[in-house]
Amino acid sequence: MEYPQVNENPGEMVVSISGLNKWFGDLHVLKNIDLEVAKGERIVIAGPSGSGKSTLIRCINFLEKYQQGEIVVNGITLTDDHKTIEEVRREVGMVFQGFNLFPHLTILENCTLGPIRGFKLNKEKASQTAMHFLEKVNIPEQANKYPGQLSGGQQQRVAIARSLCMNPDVMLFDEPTSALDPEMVKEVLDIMVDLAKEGMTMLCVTHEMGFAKEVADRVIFMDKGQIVEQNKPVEFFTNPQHERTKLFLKQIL
Amino acid sequence: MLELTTLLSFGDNGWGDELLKGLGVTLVLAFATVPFALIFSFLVAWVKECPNRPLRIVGNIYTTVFRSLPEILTLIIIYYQLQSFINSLTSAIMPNFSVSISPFAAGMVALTLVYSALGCEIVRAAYRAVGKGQVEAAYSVSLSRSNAFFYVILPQMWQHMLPAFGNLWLLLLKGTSLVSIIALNDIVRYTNMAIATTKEPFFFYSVLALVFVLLAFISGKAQTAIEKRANGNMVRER
Amino acid sequence: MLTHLTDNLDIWTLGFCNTVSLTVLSFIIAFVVAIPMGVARSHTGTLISKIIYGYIYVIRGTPLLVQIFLIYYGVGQFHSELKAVGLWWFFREGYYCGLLALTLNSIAYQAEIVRGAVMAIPHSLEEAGASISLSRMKIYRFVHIPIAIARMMPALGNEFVLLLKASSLVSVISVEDVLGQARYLFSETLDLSVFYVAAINYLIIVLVAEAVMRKLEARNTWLALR
Ligand SMILES: Nc1ncnc2c1ncn2[C@@H]1O[C@H](COP(=O)(O)OP(=O)(O)OP(=O)(O)O)[C@@H](O)[C@H]1O
Ligand SMILES: [Mg+2]
Repeated sequence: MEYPQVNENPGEMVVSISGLNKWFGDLHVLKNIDLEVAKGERIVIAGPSGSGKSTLIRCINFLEKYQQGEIVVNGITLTDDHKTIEEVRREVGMVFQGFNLFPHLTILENCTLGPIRGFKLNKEKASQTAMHFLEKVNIPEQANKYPGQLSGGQQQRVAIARSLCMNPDVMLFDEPTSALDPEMVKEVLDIMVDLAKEGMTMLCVTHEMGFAKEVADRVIFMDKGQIVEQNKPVEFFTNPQHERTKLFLKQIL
Repeated sequence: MLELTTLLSFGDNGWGDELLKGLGVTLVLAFATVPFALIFSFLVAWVKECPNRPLRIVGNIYTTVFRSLPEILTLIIIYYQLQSFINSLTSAIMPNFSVSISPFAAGMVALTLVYSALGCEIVRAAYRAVGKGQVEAAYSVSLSRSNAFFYVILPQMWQHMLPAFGNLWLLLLKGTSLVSIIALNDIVRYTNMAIATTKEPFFFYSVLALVFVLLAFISGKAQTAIEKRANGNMVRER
Repeated sequence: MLTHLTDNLDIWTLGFCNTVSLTVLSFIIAFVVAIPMGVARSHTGTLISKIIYGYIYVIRGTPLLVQIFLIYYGVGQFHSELKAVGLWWFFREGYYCGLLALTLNSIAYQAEIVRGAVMAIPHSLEEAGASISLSRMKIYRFVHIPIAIARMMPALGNEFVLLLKASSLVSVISVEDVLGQARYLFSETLDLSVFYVAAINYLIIVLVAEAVMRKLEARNTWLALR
């Protein structure tokens, strides 16, 4: 199935990464990564454990420092200046494997904290936006509860809403469903599919190959800190080029 | 026994009013130290976690020294050293002028140093208990570092710090008794004065011990109440 | 500063020995007493456990300074009675009174440590021990006790350092420990640096004690691995 490309301006890059290298001490975890993400593009990143998938997407909103290379998000070049970093983080939403909701705040407050404190939106406006996105993820009735009172699937949907409240230009997902009980995976994936339909630019690290087949424009396979192979999902799954990709696909499918 | 209790009466021939006055000084000293000890605990914790290596080493020396020295020795050194230091400063400007630093101030400084060296470990442990994920989530919604700390991290740290700080408060309360040694008129010193005239050390020291047990009891009750309030609206586990 | 140390080497040596002997003696005696108390306390709900808890509460709620005063001056008030029962020689001496106060104090803290360790012993090990046909005694000797001791180690090390620092308070009842000697020399010379010499004494003992503890704990790394 093909979703319409909502890219009014093809060729406009939301994220462009070039020559990215990162080390943890002596461990070389990202090796010469080049990656361009066009507006509206949906990318799924796959690869064995420890291959550097999380590290790569965490570099994009500077949750990880890197030693070499350049990352440009929506025209802003990342530097280690705090103002620039905060600016970039406004453009980038992130959903974590472990949800990472703020347990001391209500669901609504979770969603409004960033807009109110981060870019000084007034409280009413922020609440309106938050309610809009909570409706979108199908849990407006939970707005005044605390995260601890919600199921894992509900929490992850709140986390998605929280990111959307920032009105980001690109969303990063780091294995958003792998901490969930199986019966809750679908409710989160459905939200992600909806987002994809609306043309959100997405980078998803996930092992949900069904999701990749359904929505991805491109699947990227990483191993040992390198991008080994990237292709359209159909080609990627039916006709992998590299030995390592074949091995990986055999293990997970 | 009846004679003994009259010793505690208020007025000219009883020591009740003096002891109460001393208790007041003890409590004021303890309460006055709390904000400083708290702020220093955070500062030292921050220094020990900061990326600057020389600063971290300074932080480690600070905590090693003040956790290794007996509190009373720290107190004595602060008391005399502060005095001689200030006097050597002022004597340069005004020769025949000498200040004597009050035991109360020396007590506050010493207790702050000692208990912040302990308190900073409480702060660090609480920071770690809140977890990196919370910091990252706060950053990911584009909060600045200070906003992330004050709106996301700190509110969650209290839950982890309150029990340990409650213990520290009890230590501080007991620690104030040391200041009687450098002549602060706290409850211990008034007790000693009472004993000097009445020659009833067993009775008076027992009363003194009872007062401290009572303070510990009240503190314990207060702590439970505060912890209940702090955890009231935060449901962590389902 | 160093001349204070070298000129009065005998004074400092005596102070050092008194501090160390007070700390070590009270620590060991308290440990021996704390074991049965901690075990009894781990059976919560019993009368004896409640009594012990009362004792611990009072000791932990009061300053050691007050405890020392109470024993030295307070009990000392009854010297004729003490003479009659033949205990006066003990309560007359600051050193013994200090030792008693430190021991009674440390018992309370160590009993809690013992209790914590006893309650953390995994009972599933009893079946495991029985399955390789160990007798009950042997299970205690080779399974429970080593685990309990390994668990207590860090807390005991901590308590030792606290006790060492606390021992300096005996100087107020004119015991010639490190701080006592420093205060004596200060009254003679009015030179503040004697207190820094004392500080170095304490620092050295603490750092040595902590190094020893680390060595001992290193043997128990398996605890952290579980
Ligand atoms: N904070 C860190 N310090 C040191 N090494 C790290 C750190 N974080 C990750 N690593 C290492 O970097 C490598 C890449 O880690 P990363 O988390 O990016 O892998 P991943 O592909 O996301 O794996 P997974 O599927 O398990 O999440 C791994 O070898 C990991 O051990
Ligand atoms: Mg990962």
